[in-house]
Amino acid sequence: MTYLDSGTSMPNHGADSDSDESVLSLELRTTASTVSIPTIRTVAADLAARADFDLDSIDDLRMAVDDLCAMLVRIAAADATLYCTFTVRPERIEVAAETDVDDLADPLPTGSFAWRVLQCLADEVGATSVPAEPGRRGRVRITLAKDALTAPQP
Amino acid sequence: MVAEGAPDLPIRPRPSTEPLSYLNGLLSADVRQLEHAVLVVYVAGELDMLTGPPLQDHLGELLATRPDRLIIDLSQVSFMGSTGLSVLICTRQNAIAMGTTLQLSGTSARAISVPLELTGLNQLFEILPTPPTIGDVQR
Repeated sequence: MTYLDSGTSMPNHGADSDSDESVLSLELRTTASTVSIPTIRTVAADLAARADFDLDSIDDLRMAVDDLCAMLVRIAAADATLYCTFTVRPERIEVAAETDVDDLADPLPTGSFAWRVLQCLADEVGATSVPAEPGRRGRVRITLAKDALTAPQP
Repeated sequence: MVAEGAPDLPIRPRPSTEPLSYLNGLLSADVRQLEHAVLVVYVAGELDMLTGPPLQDHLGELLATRPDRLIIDLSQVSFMGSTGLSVLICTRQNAIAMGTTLQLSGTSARAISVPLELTGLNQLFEILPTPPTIGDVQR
């Protein structure tokens, strides 16, 4: 498992304000395997705790990240790598995770039970995919954002 | 494993010193018999994609003995993801097929109550207000 600060040469996944000192960026690179998931969700909860998220939001983020990783691991190609990027902003944590897939059909798991759970737990979710083609693996990327405060129940 | 093929004979209680531990100590499941054909599974640890499948297999083995009632106690579960929820759903379907009454207990902690409520599964399962005690374990 690799921890990287934003200053290293890893590809930038699109955060345009990484130079802002109030934003912490952290990337985990693991095998896309179930054994990696407990560590990844623990990192997510730890980041949220350090960012002064309330306890409910920490729990929600832990569950959401677990769900997100489980979805990707389930569809990941053999020996694929799981990339997981955390961007900790004031009052908000964004998570982007992606992995390679072998499925030729649209591999997005957005109709699944896990996806509905993810939508409930996170404040924003998104997914994009590039389906595989013969001889070339596809890629699935799922993003979520969680705000520090739990929205009041209606 | 408990007795098979003799539903009207008492099932031999599993010794309490025989907890079943899975995978790096992340999850354990301790089975007790409360009374004739009533089993309680005390699950402890983190219930996720890693630990869910072996737990589901184990619950399936218990249901194969056709108990009248199976209670899954979750009071010592510190984390439950959607894979854990799917273990509960599959076990419920299995229980219905076996004619076993499936109940949950120990669901009040937020780590359990939130996933159950978000998915509406708290409406689907019979939930006991308090975890069953083992004071009346049959010897």
